[in-house]
Amino acid sequence: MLAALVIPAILGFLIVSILLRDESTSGLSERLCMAYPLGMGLLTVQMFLLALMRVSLTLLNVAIPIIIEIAGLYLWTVKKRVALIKRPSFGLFKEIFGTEGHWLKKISLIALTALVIIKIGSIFVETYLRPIFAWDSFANWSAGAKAFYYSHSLLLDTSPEDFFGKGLLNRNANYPPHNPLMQVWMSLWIGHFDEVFVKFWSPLYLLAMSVYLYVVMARETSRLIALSMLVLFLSSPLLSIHSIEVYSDVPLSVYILFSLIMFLLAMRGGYEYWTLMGLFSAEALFTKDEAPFFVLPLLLAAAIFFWQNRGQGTVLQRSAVPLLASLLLAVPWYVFKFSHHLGFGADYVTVNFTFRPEMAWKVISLLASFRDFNVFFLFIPILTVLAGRPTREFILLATPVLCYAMFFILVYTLTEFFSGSLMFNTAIFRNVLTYYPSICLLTAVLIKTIMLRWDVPSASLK
Amino acid sequence: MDLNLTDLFTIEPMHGGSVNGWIQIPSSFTMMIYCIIIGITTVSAVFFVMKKNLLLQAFRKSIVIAFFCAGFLYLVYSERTWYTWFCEDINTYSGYSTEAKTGIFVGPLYNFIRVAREVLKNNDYVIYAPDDATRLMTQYYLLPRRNRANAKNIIVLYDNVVYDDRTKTFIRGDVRTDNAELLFRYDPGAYILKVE
Repeated sequence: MLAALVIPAILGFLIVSILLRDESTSGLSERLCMAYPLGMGLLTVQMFLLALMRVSLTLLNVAIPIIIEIAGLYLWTVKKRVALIKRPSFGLFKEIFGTEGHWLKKISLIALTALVIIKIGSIFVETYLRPIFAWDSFANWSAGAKAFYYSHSLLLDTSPEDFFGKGLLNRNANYPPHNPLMQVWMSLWIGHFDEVFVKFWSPLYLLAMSVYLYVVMARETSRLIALSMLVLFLSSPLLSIHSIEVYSDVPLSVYILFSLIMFLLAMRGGYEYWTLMGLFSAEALFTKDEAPFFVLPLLLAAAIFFWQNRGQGTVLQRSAVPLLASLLLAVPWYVFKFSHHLGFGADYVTVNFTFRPEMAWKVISLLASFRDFNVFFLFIPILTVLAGRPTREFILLATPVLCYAMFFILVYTLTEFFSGSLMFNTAIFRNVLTYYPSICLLTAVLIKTIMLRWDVPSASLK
Repeated sequence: MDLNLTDLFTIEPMHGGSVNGWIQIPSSFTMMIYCIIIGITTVSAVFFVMKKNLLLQAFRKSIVIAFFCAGFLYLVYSERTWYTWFCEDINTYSGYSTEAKTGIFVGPLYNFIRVAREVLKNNDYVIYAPDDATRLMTQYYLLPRRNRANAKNIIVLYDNVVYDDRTKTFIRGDVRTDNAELLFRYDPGAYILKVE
């Protein structure tokens, strides 16, 4: 099973190392964090393409192309003398065990680090303890995965009622196959469909996201604030539950967060990050049907950034071209989806319009009840107001997240199905979970802005 | 939100008996967090104003402090629930194989499913069960064998049907099936038939 988790991470790591070969902002830990989600996304897209070409999804057929790619990329890094292992900084440990700094701060850092390790450790143990337990995991994701695994295909050459696993339990064939294909990949290495071990990609997504979120927040604020925020972030019960199950919301939240971070780094001059932003966005599109409603506003924000920087001759060539080229990764899925008349969202969803503005208030009151996301959603508007005039960078960063959140509000208020027939609270919290890490990142950026304006209220930030 | 001021200081645990239960926070705890936020913001803002900070600066500092204080209060509360679930699951599931864990999770139905897999081999089946949950759960664990209307094997799970093993007839509603051989009987209501 270890190979099933390590191989995509190696593939992702080599790609990240090659793309960031001339870049020094991202250290080893950031690159490792990016590697696993990136590699897993590339792997499942390849499995999808193999299945479309009617190649049987056996271990050899799936693993050999990946291993050839890994070997090819490695030889390329050797030939081009790309440094794979950057020297790790161990900044947190230096701060804890160094001679400088107050003892109280050191104790706080140790306690917070311990809390993070214990929490993530408990999530891994819990993943190991429980078999798949949630009904919608069975129906939406694992039934398809099982059928794909045992048939070594995506069931594309069967009768119409079985096509793409349609008739399995209540499976929604409209959903992208990233999640089931990850389970197929795990099963190929395990040798059978194991109700416990097929889930292990899920806590790894959380681990990669948590470490990367911490590193970015620490760079924006301080290690103490970043660790404190990470501990608060991880206290979400819904995030913990989703991280031990085969839901797609945590992988989507990772791709959304990583796309946003890549956008942030790209805006700050890291041209290499435009490609990664495109790749993570494409992988988000291959993970869940909601993703276009984040990716399109993100591209809009990027377009505004390009427009504002149009004077620089190389911007479009070095930014927009790699961004759009890497988005092509999602094209096969959409070609397949539209050519087979697969819709968006669950196939039992009916689109009858209504107007129920009170649903927006219901969303606000649910988020203000602190049920699933600690106090982040109460404080982000307060901090935004208190931070004063927002920086251009913050506006561009917050726009896609806000548009994405507004999209859900519109769906809840304007459609009969989402405002009435659905298990409303469950749907809201799950939708919010997909942008909860991005809200945490934006909160850190706001705290940074507030701290910079701590004692200089009239100062404008560069 | 149902506000009950009398139990504002009675912290009952997060609702939801286990990891797969519903998560609910009692309104008394939500109110407590709001009280903490207002209290800390006010006290620290007054403190910073007394330290010669402008009101806006004092407010900025006090809100950041309130954010972390309220956040940590929530953390203590929610993590208590998480680790309670975690300990329960360690007691329930640790030390078992995946099959045994699934058996614990599903309950007695899984014993039937385990035998059904052997009996059905790779053949499809048609399943009759009165409730969707039992039917779909059984279907899931029997994959890749599929539930098909025209299958030769019949799985009955406590449905309103009649089977006479002397005459080998199976009657469900108006439909009567002859030559239905009993392959396996788990208990009087749960059995598998094969139609010749």
